[in-house]
Amino acid sequence: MAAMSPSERRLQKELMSLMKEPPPGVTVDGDQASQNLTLWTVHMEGVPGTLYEGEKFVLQFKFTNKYPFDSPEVTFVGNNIPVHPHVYSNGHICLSILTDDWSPALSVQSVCLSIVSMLSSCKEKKRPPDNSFYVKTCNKNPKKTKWWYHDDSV
Amino acid sequence: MDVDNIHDLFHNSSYSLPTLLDKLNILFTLHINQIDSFDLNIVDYKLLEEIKEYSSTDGINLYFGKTLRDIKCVIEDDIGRKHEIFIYSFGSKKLHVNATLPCSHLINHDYESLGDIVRTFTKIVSDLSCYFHQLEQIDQLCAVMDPESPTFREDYRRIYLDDRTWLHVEVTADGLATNIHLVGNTEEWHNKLQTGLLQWDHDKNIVENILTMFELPSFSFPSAISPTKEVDDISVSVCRICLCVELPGLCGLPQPLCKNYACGVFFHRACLYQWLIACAGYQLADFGVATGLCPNCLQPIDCDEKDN
Repeated sequence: MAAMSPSERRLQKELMSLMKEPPPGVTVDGDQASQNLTLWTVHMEGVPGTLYEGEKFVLQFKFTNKYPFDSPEVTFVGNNIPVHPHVYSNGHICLSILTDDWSPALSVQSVCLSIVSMLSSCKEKKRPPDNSFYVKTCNKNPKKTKWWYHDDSV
Repeated sequence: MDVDNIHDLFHNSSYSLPTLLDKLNILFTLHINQIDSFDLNIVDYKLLEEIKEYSSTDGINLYFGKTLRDIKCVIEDDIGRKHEIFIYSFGSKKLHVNATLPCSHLINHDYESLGDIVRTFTKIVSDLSCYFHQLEQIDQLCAVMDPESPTFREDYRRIYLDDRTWLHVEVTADGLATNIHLVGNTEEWHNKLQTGLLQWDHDKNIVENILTMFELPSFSFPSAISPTKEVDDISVSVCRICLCVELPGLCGLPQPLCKNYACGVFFHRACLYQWLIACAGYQLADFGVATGLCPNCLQPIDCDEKDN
């Protein structure tokens, strides 16, 4: 096996720790991720007692070889995209740590926790106000979007 | 066929391999009793003679390794420390040396004879006596965080003061401390260092000086590391950026580079530097010092490209 690049080494370590001690309601598809370290599928369950209780979501993480200097590309995929003021119907998520506020001290685990907490603190299930316009015009990569983060409350 | 012709057999390339083997076969079966010895210049007699000569010298022991070309020379110093010099012979008058000693210019260097090597290194070993003594004391009494497995090759030690602060000390060939500074310094240690450096007494051991300078009764050890250095949980010293301890191709261990006392994470200098200049749009840092925010606590941080 060829020597691992620093980004692969870090992803390997993250994968191992996420499989060993996953946050509640979060599971990573370890087989798929170990086949291809740059594409992970993470399953997420709505937290009991919140608006998303009982729902199941699938997140996709894409990493470049510059990770962790470059943030991961994180989107919801599959049939069930959560209805949330910061989640577009194409799965794109408006969350500052995924772009401007990314730091290499963050990890897949901390991104998952942020998304869980973003969903859990939601008070009304609705799409972002500009959803239909955004979904028609946006780039496939949410990181190409110039987000502006209207509010921090949800 | 004459025994004297055996030289021609090997040094004359006009024979094909089957012919050569045939001739050898005839030679060995018919003349076996007449062959006493012959010289094919494969054996380096000069080197063997030297080995014979020096193996009877006091304080020097010579051993062969896997092959006759690998020689280990053990030089004992004045107090009986054994210094191993590994020698590899590339042929006549070309000997390569490797040793865990600080003098890299003498190590990455070819020698003509074993005598050269023995003379050079016996002198070094005796010249460095104070250097060995000081480093040995530091390694025995302090928690050395970097290098990970200290040897006499590394002339520096990074000593644990607390979870956020290490002391960097370099030792000169004469056994004196130099380039003393804090890694991940906090004000309290910094102030003590400033005043303490003025009272540094070169007649005393480095270890004693450090204890006096910081007014310590003895050195403390990080909770994860016992004095015997059996590290169970290395997660404390993993770089927060690459999640590794050792970085391939780059020397240096993760360090407590953030000066925010509440932060407490470690970074490889190279990883942090890379992130800070990436944040600054890949512009080269002024004077080689990148500035920005700590990836962990978002407090201002700076990072020197080079480890001073």
